[in-house]
Formats: sequence, structure tokens, C-alpha cells
Amino acid sequence: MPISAEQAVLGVVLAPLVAMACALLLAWPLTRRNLHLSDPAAERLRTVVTITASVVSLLLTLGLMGLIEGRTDPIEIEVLGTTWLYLDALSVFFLLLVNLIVLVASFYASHYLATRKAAHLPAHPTLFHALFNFFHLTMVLVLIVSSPVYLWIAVELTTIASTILVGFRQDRRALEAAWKYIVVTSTGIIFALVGTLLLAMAVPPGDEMNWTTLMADAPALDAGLVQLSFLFVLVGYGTKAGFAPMHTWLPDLHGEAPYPISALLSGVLLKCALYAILRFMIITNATLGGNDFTSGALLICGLFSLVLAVPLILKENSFKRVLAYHSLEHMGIIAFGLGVGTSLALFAALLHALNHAVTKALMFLTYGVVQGGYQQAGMAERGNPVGVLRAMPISGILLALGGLALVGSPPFNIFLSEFMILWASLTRASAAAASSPDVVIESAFVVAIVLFLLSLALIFGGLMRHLGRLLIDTPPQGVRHPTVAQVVPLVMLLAVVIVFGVTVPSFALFDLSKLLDASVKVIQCLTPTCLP
Amino acid sequence: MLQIIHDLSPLINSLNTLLVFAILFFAMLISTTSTIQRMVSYYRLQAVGLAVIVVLTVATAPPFNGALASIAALPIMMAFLVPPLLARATIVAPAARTTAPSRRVRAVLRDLSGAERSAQRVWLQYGRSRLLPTMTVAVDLLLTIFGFVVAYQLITRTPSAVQSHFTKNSPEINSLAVGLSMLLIGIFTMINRRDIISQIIGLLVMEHGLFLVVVKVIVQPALTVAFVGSLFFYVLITLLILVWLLPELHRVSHSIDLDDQCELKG
Repeated sequence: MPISAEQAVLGVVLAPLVAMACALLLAWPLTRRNLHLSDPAAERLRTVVTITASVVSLLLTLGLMGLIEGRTDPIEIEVLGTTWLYLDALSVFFLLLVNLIVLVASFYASHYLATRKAAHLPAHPTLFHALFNFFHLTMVLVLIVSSPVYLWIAVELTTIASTILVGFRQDRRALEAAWKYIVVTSTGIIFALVGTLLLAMAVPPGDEMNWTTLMADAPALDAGLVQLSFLFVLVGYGTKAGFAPMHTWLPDLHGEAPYPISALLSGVLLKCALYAILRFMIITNATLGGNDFTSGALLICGLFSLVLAVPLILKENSFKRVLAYHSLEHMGIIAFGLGVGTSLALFAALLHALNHAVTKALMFLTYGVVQGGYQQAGMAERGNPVGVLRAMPISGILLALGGLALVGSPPFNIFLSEFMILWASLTRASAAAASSPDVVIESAFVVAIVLFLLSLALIFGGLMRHLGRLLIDTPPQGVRHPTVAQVVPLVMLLAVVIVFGVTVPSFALFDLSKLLDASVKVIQCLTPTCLP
Repeated sequence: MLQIIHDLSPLINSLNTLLVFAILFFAMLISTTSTIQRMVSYYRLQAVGLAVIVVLTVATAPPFNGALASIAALPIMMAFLVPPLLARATIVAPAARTTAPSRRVRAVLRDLSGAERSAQRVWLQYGRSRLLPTMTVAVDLLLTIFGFVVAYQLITRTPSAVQSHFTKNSPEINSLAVGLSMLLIGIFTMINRRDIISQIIGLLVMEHGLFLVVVKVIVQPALTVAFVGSLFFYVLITLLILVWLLPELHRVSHSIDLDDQCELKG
């Protein structure tokens, strides 16, 4: 039976909500007695429910891809006369990104908990599964709510969920990481709310403040107020997106979080904050009648993040922290692409967001499996494994190939999107040179591109050094090999990394190229709801 | 009743303006004082002042806006909750480590009674700044001037409807300026202090600044509920820090000094 777009959206929201409720209910002795469940059986059921919710969410999102394709207007869901949910192609693209990574990470929740149990550390499976699903729900809400204020609330909820998940181990390092994260992001998020308030000041009296009305009103809004609002929002949500110089929480958080959560934080949460910035960028561009202002801000922000990532990646550090600094690098590249602002650059920046999420999930999850295997050989919970290629050959190969992909080697996915961004920036630079006699603008573009390339080259060398130490050496005795169930999702992720390095999929049932095109149109305000 | 309020509105507006500057003064006192003990006292006074501002704002702007009035409950609630919660985090009661949720709630409540008295000795020893007091005052004044310049620039650039709201009610412009200044002073306090308790008080000053901006800036009643809702969610985050993270961090690090919270480097 075919389902409507509205039903699919509600399903995407309800799946993690129901899974969260089930995880909590299974902790209740009465439920377990009635269902005749032992502790291990209840734990298995929790895992099955979490994975099922992630599968349902992803399938419904794939369905939404097809449903949004045939529509000229966004999907809006009203309850009691108020529009609560709003989806267009851009929302569906980010929803796909979120649900894909959540699904893969959900396979590793039980492995993480089992590793802790084996090390005689407190596991708290109920709390972990409930929070995992709550975190999933909050990230979905960020992408589908209809107004900037609800968006802010949803981002706040992601902070609550992720802070508790990071402080989950309740040891000194985890709590310190959670502390730094919540203090920095809570400070930043105040600026995002002030930015939202400034936008509210610009809205004509009597109008609702949702994406639809904001798009309709955009050309008539006060330009100065909207510009200021965008700057506040860029600082506020930029803190959450990990842009420099507000990135200080990033390595601590990604380094100390449980590894399936690190994959979500790096691969998905940063992109949710990016989505928030994109929504404000669309309105700002529509108000100003062009993207010069937002492009300039994002180019500076992106280039600064990318350049700052270089020394941080090059220095000695634990591997998870190195991976976290790669998030700074890649968020910089995405912002740079958005700043270039042409159709190709926007397409490439969005593709890069997906590629980074997939590759980073592959790296964090593989590294988590490797750490689990080494812990069996007596390594401390946060120790640095060595000689992975010899001790765990499949995981070693996955790490090596994932690492090559992460630094932008061909023939992997990140190479393709980085090359597209570079190509777009060169085209934009030559167009700027042809149209403007201003030597300063032309020189600025050339300097930016040179810095971009130089940073990528240095980062390539940096990660290779870290990978070399991790992969090649004499491993300890007794390292446990991963099970087939642990390897299969990782191999599938690697397949995505390789396939996306050759082409952007464009099949009948999965037309990513078309979805990206439609998302670019949303950003460029070329949709029927946006055009005057 | 409405007539009385209408007749008294010039007086109420003056009182409102006075209170707005008073809470800015308290923010500066919080930033410059040298003990946590005084910071907490000034925070409490600031919270009460803010609640009165909200009530007066709602009273002088008919028709009655219930959602906006509900914001007054937030600073009052925090004025009651924050000092004992900070005290509990300072003395790190071991009873709070039980696992059963109902027992944990009871243990937290037990910890809170008398916690302030027990924490006072520690509070008198902590609260030092990185900068000298004179430098701190100078930075506070500079940040305040910056806040006022931004607010006045902002108002001159807003659309006519919003401008009329601000020109008719001149206290609104000052409130916006004070709110922005408090955001900046709050951040500065967080950077300038050397212990986690004072750092959180800086965040709480920012929160008060945010409350003030929301109360004074919302021109449209239609948007009030959503923004007030967002403030309630922000308070949730603050409570998460105060109830869980702060005591746990102190428990595992055995210190409230920021220099001792540096396990993670690089």
C-alpha cells in the first residue's frame, strides 16, 4: 500500500521515538516479567528495536526521496492550525545523511556495551539505547521543523542528548569533554537565538515566522537586520558545526565519546548545525538579492577552519583526536564550497557533507572495533593500538582505505567532491577576473585557492604519518578478530566510499544526483515557493 | 485596575529603566567581585530584579500577554535553585552516587538542604579573576559601551514598525543594549575566572541577558510563545549542567579549579 509523504514524515519521527520508549519500558521489571525476558534477552531486544527503528527511518527517507521528486511545493504538516513540520529537497537530503549514518552506528551500540561489560566497566544499556534513539530523534527534528525558533529548540535538544551520551562513562576525561562541549556550545547557541530574534524583528507584523512565510517575505525584509541576524547565527550554529575558532570542544568530544556516538557526532551532528546555517543563508540571500555577503562570510570561515586544522592534524595526538581535527578540516572545505556559491560548488559542498559523513563513520566505527579487539589483549580502554594490519587484517585494510579516502586520494568519494569544489572555485575565480577589473578580488581568490591546496597537501602527509604508526608495527598477542556481523556494515560503508568516488548514483530507485540538484535549487532559491 | 496602571505607566517605565540598569550593575559586580559567595548573592538579586522587570513590562503593555508573563517564573525559579545547586556541586556530596532514580532524587534533595551553609567557606576562597579588578572593570565598561553602540545602531536600521515600537518606548532601547552588554559581560566572566563555579555564574549572567533581550525585543505577540518556549529549553540545559555535570566533574577531578580540568589536551 503506497504511503503519503505526510505519513512517511510522521514515520521518520515516530520510529526513534517508539524505539526510545521501548528501551525505557524494557528496563521496567513489570514489562520484563510479563514478556518473560531475562536480562540478556532484554538487551538483545533493545538492540533489535534500535536497529529496526534506524532501518524504518532510512527506508521511509528513501521513500521521501521519491515523493519529494514529484512535488513542486514542500511537504508541510499542520496540527491545530499551526505548521510544525516542513520538508523540501534540502531537508530530505540531510535526512538521508542522518538516517544512513545512524543505521550503521546502531549496529555497533551492542558491541560497545559488550566491550565495556567484558572490561568489567558499567554499561547502562537502557540509558545508552534510550539516549541513542533520543539523539536520533532530535537530529531528525532539526531537519524537519518548520520555523527557526523550533529549529533552535531542536538543536538545544541535540545538545542535551549528546552531552549525556559523551559523559556516559562518568570518568574524568569523559566528564571534562562533556563539560567543555556544553559550556562552549551553550554560549554559542545564545548567539543563534539572538540571531533568530533579530530575524523575528524583521518579520512584518502579523506574519507567522516559518520557512514558507520567511521565503515569501524575504525580498521585503530589512537588509541590515537580516545581515546581522546571519552573522549571529553563523557564530551560534557555527560553534555547533565546529567552525574555527569555536572548534575547541571538537577533539575532546569526539575523542572521549563512545565510538558509535563519535561517528554520529562527527558525521551527522555537525551537518545538522550546517543545515541550520544553510536555512538562514537562503533567507539572507533572498533578502539581499545575491549571495555576495553570505559567500564572503562562509569563504573566510571555511578557509580559516581548513588552515587551522593543518597544524592540529600534524602534531602528535591520539588517533580519535586526529580524526576529530579532520572534521574541522572537512567542515572548512564544505563551508569553502558553500562560499564559492556557484551551482557546481553548492552541489559539491552538499556531496562532500555526505562523503565526509560516510568516510568518518567508517573510520570511527572501524577504530572502535579495533580498540575493542585490542582491549581483549589487555590494552587500556583509551590506549593506542599498533600493528593493526597484522593483528586484524580486515580492519587494518578498512582503516587504510578509509584514511586514504579521508585525505582525498583518488579513487575515493572525498576526492571527487573536493575536486569538484576546486574546479568550481577556479571557474569562479576566472569569472571574477573576467567580470571585475578589481585586482584585489582576483588576488584574494587566487590566494584562497592556493591556501586550500596547500592545506590539503599537508593534511595528506599528516594523516599518513598517524596511519603508519597505527597500522605498521608489532601487535600485542591475543588481539581478538572482529566478527562477521561487525565487519559487514563497515565493508558496505567502504563500498559506498568507493562507488561515490566514481559516480554520483542516479538510479531509478535512488537518484541522489537529482536530489542534490533539487537541494541546490532550494539553496539558490529557484523553487516555485521562493521565486517571486 | 487597568486605569490605575495606565495612570502610573510613566512611573512604572522609569522604575523599569532603573531596574534594567540595576541588573547591568549587578552583572558588573558579579564580574568584578573576588569571591563566589558575593557572586551568588549578586546573581540572586539580579534574578529578582529581572523578574520584576518582566512583570512591569507585561503590566504596562496591554493586552495581558500570559506567555510573556510566564518568563518571570524562570529567573525566580533559578534564584531559588541555583545557589543550593552550586553549593551542592561545591561540596560534592557522596550520597548522590546511588543508582536507583528515586533514591538519587531523594539524595539530591537531602544534599541541597544546608548545602549553601557548608559551601560558604569554599566560596570565600574561590572566585579569583585572571585580570586585576581595575582591568576587569575597564573591560566591563568597554563591553557595555560596545553593547550600547550595537543596540542603537541596530534600532536605527530596523524597519519602521519595529522602530516605532522602540521610539515610543525608549526604555526598550536601553533594555536591548543592557541585554547585549550582559551577554558580553557573561562571556568575559567565563573567560576571566579560574574556577568552574564562577564560570557557570558567567553563563547564568548570559542567560539573564538573553531573557531580557527576548522580553524586550519580541514585538509580535504571535511569536511570544515560541520564544518563551525556547527559553524554557535553555533553562533545561542549565539545570542539566547544575544538577548532573558540575557535581560529577568535581567528584572525579577532586577540584573546582579550572587548572585541574585539563586532562584533555592537544
